[in-house]
Amino acid sequence: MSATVVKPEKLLKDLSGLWVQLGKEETEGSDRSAGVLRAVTMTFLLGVDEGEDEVAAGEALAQLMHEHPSRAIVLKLRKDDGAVIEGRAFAQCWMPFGRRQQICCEQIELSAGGAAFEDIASLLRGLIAPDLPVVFWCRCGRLFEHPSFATLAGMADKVIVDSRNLPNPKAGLRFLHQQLAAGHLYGDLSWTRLTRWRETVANVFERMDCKEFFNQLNRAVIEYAHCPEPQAAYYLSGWLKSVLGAKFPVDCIHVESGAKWQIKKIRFETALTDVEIDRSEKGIVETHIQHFSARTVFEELDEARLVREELAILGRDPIFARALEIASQI
Amino acid sequence: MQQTPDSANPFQDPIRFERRIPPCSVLIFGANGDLTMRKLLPALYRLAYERKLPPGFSIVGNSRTALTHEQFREKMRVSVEKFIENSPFDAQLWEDFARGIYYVPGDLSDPAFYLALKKQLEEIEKERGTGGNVLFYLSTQPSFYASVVEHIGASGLANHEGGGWRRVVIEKPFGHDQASAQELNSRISKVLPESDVYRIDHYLGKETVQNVLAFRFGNTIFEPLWNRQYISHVQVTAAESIGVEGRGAYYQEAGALRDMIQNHLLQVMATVTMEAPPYFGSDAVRDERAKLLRSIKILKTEEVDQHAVKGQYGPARVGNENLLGFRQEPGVSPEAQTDTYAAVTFFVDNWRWAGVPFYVRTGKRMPKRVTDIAIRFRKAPLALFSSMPGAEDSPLAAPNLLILRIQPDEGISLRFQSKDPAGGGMKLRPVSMDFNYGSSFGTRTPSAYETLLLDALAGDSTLYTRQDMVEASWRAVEPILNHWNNTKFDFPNYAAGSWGPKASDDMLARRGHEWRIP
Repeated sequence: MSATVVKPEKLLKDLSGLWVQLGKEETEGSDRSAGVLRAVTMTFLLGVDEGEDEVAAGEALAQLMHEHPSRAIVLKLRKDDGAVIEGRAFAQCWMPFGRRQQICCEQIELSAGGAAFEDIASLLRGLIAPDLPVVFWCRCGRLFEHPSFATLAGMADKVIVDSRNLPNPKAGLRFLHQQLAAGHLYGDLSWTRLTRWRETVANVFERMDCKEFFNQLNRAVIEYAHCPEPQAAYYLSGWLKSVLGAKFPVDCIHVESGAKWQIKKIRFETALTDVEIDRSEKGIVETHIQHFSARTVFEELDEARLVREELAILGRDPIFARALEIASQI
Repeated sequence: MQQTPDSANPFQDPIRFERRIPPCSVLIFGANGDLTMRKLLPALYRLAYERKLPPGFSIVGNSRTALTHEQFREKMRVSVEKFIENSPFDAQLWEDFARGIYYVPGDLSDPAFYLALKKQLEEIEKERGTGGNVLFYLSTQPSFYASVVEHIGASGLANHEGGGWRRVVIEKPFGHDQASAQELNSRISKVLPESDVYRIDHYLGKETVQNVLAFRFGNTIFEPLWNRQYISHVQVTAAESIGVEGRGAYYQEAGALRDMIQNHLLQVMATVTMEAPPYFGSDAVRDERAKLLRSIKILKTEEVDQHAVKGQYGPARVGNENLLGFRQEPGVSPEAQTDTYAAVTFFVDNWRWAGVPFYVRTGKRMPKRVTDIAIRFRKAPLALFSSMPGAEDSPLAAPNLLILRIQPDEGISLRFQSKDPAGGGMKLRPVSMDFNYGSSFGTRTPSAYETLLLDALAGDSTLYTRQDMVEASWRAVEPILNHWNNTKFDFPNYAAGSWGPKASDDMLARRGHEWRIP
């Protein structure tokens, strides 16, 4: 369904009609059907770029809907500069394994070219599901730089970006720091990707007397691959510095690696022994502490998994804020 | 910026990381049995898969069978691959996990065996840095519980010189009556303090049972109605479609009242009816549960027949299958007086619940597997919309009903009246508002054993039963058990595949109620 003039009432009416239709289709002609279940736990705004980006984003959105049933509003930034805004409403449904009832989430898609995109924000005010949180995942670097970004971000309780995909990743960190300092809630998937690394480091230090170890610590080393802007290394370094304090150096060393991930190794060097966490090219992570070694697997995380972690945190995250503050100054 | 860190782990991130579990070992007595293979090892492997276990985590298995470490590891691998639910099996991860699995064969009554265990644990502590922390898991015959704990004490295994913790997990049944439960508790408490004794009731580990607490105490709209003013009665149903499945000999001695109501269902009932704890902490929650269990009215012998129904299934044809009666099951005496069905009307003697019947039933070979709690509210005080002939008596003129579904299809439903748009006029029809756990939270739900094992390793006993709770629940069912033991029943009294004996329907009918069909 497309129209030259897009009105929120019309889209909401389309959605209502859709639910009635879905209910009829499900219950007619089947005595085993248990109907459809309309599920909404938040409004989820997803900013995408026209083209390839929207396919991957659609897949991630479909995955997220299963765990976070939402009114999803996809905001597509078209490549043209025309004044036309297009809008349509539809439902995403799935049948959970072993169940007889379909679960459906509502989805609205709004698209506009660069010039008309600012008008989308005014439409959104009538489309946001009442009394529920609003999360804005800005997956598109072009939209991050668009003048409407601030308005869209202002409507959301939390904004999620991936700083490594921003046009200027380093400036992105500074921007995020300013936003957090101003009291806004932001998440950065470049930080989220590090949770397993950080958790592994924390587990290592469960095994030892930290005070004694830190008395002997000379430095921490992060080996990373991929340039020019190693966001993950910045964040990890910021985190280690925020924990260890200023007196221990944290060195980031660039290494060549064929693997897709950025962090290769973390090493804590002392006069007596080193603690090392090393991720091989197959994704297996080995932890070496003196004579002991343990192995775990970091399977590749897709965007949906990362966003899911961010969606679970709708309050302040002081550890992220401290690491970001330092990372933004590197 | 943070100052130089002290001896606490400064790298922890409680917002994003899983709860921290210190390095430790789990020692399973009776590791060759079904529970270990079907539940414990798959749960522990899954926890490792999700990186919830600390590095160096180790498992020591024991049974009488002579096995090497390698043979035991292989046996566990086969069972984990077979019984792990909703999870992939990762061979590489298993390889690492299996390096921490050990086996010590031995006789539970032999003191030398415990010394061998001690030696093995010391080696593991040295090699894998477990810090001397050990969780003993008693997956043995219940008759061994007390003596195993006494041997643990006598061999010095109950304490660790370096300050590591020692805890013991005990599977139900915790005694077979009040006196035996007290004796068991008394023998265990000579070796370990109550805070280190974890009596596992896997029902309390179920996500949806925990959700009852969230539902009641995380919301404000239900609690004001949660009392005798608004609630007519409560029905707790735990039905199983299967029979005794080869456990006839065991079940013959236990019965439904002992096997389900004394422990699982009374704990569920306590969760539904307890007062709000002052804070969400282990002892605060358990104090309230215990208080509620102590408030259950104890039946007099002459009241039992009016308040409790004992049943046993007979043979029947269900669909195209001929089902055996209980007495025809292998290992069961043809004269068995065992209850495969039990229904009890409980009352809670406190200001909140005085006079509200709690109908609790459980049975085998029922039409389907379902566990739920149905809270039936009182009718509206004025039948405002009953002017249509027959409307007041219509089955559709039903009062509000809140269903907490424990399994399957976990969720919550609220039935209320709505105007029926068909036909004009003010006709009401009940409609249901459903919350479905699976659709709102698509994440995998951890198994009860995953939850409970993790809790025990973390030292959180909120979901474990305490000595006073066990004794209070035995006290509540003991008059029924005694009366049933002294009465000869004419069994079978319900057909396999039915909802239980007629006497059970009569028990509710005497108060003007009827069982809902779940």
